[in-house]
Amino acid sequence: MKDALQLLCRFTAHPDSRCWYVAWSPSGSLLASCGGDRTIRIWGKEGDSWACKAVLQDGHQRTVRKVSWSPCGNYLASASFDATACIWRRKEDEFEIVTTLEGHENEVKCVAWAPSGNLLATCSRDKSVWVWEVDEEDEYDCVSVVNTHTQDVKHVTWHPTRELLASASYDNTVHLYQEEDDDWVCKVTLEGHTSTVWSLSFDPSGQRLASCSDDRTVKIWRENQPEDVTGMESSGSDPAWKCVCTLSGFHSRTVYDVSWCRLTGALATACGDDSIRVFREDAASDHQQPTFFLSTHVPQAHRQDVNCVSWHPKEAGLLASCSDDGDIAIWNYQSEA
Amino acid sequence: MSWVKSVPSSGDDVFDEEEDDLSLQNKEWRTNMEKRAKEGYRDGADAGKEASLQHGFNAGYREGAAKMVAIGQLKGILSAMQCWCQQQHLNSPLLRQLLQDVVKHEEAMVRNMEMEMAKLHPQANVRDVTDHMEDLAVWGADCASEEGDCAMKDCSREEGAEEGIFSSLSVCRNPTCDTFSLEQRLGQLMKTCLELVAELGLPEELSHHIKQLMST
Amino acid sequence: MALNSKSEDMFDVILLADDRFHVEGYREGYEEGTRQGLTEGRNHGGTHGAKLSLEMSFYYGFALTWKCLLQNSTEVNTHRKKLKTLETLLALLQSFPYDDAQYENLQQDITKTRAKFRQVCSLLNVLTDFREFVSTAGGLSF
Repeated sequence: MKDALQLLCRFTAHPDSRCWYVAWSPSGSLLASCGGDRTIRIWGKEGDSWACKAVLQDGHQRTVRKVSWSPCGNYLASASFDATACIWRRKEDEFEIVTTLEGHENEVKCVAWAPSGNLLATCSRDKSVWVWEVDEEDEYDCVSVVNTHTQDVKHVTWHPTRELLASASYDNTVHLYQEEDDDWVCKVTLEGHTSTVWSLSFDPSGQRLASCSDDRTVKIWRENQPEDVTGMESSGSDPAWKCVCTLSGFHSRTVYDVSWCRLTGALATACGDDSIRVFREDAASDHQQPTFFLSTHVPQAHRQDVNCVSWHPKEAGLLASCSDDGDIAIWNYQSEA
Repeated sequence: MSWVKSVPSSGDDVFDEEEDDLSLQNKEWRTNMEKRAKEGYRDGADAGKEASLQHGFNAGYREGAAKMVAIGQLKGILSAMQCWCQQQHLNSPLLRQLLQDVVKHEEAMVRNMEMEMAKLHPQANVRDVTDHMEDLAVWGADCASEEGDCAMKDCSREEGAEEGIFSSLSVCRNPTCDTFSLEQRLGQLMKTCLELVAELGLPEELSHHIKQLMST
Repeated sequence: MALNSKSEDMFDVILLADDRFHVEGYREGYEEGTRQGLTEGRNHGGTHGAKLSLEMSFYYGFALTWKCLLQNSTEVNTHRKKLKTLETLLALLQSFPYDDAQYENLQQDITKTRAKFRQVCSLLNVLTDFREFVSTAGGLSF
């Protein structure tokens, strides 16, 4: 059996608009999508097809760019070009707005819930990254505003286990932040991409971070753990991150998204050439210099730019993708290994 | 330096009359010397400017910063009071008016500073290089004077005396009455703010701070 | 070069004159350049210093006033987080070197202070229209 990505289902999610992002709920029972039509839609599987369970409108005045589920699955956060982020509470199939987070000067590009559920990060075209703290009464307080990027911040994502935040920017860099004296501080800057970094994804262990860029490459960065410091890389107690692998020559356009499967370790990419690719790591490769190979490639996965790919959290090989054509596609990835 | 050669040479002159030849050589020589002096002047002007820009910047920076502390703080104080009152559902037209006045006053202060600069700036450039060259050429023609001091006494007087330059430029050419009234007005605004703090029943601690600001 | 002593003297005179004209011109140019440099530098510095001071002083007045108001309010206990952040902002502003144009961490400190101010505004629930007022007044944009 050859490695393959098999289409299970395709449906129009945001008619006459773009579908910007999809996110699986932590249990995997729901898929949230958002788009240029200012709505968020919640999808659930019914038999072999996917049905729209809810449409969340009236929350935003402009494009909804990204959504993020809280780890408990009871809340959904949305980031919009209207300069706000909304927090929605789920009651069965109903969603209501708990609060609107204001403060960014313009387009909010991404929102991400920390694994603990107590922290939330947002980023914006205003070049800043904000960290918010949530208390028991659903009160959201800004605990830090970090202004270390010099351009539009495209994406934020949290480390799977530690309180470590990563951001990607139009300034071609990735920043990593940690809390220090009540403030979030940029501890590491990852330089190497030659154009906008669009998205990020940690590997299941959190030791490695994948970044994808307008420079048509995907880079794998690895944290240099204190035990394998050879005396030059690490400074003080902060382990350095360095690029251990660059996937170049595979993508013919901008790579908009990258998703590292927590279950299988497969790496999927969404590309401006309308295709989806899945990479796997060579099992025999040195972890200091890993090699990845293209496992499968679906050239016309969508009719237009693929904006997002997202692996299902529980079901190995299940992948959702969405595109400028307004569609969502659900795929099954199978490999020989 | 091809022109140097032309001075002692004699053989292949195209001019028959020696006098004409000499005066021509003399003229050429003068032209070349003026050219050298101009070059020197330009090099010197560039070097002098480069050497002093940062010094001037630092001094101006200090001055500019010091000038704006009180008005900046006053605007901050009133803005905070305004936000507070809004949140407490207190409506004070007086406060809104005062904040507007302070914003206007800040603009006036910035404008005043810009005007002072506009007055200064062209003055420094008025003397064209060629003005100096005339002086130099006169001196250069007889080629004898050991004294290097030309008609530039007015500028050399100020050499190295940063304070002197600033005071002579800013004080003597700008009547200080504008600045004075701006300062008076700022004092009035602070006083009104102080009265408003008492009227709105805001903390004594705040009044104390405004008083401190008034005394600086 | 076979030059006789007369022409050598002549040559020296010319070279000397050449040098002297250049040196003399240089000296005068230098004086005038210095004068211009000081004035231009002062103008630039004045504008920068004034702008920065207006912005930072604004933050200071704002933060100090909020601190007074919250500390003296009846619900002071519910304002712990706000007060702490205000203190951090005030500390940043107090250590700000207004008189040193060549302070090496200036840009970094400005960025940090602005970010802290935005956090303060968010915590105080001071909304966008107010910040627009601040930026139209020229405070935030340089």
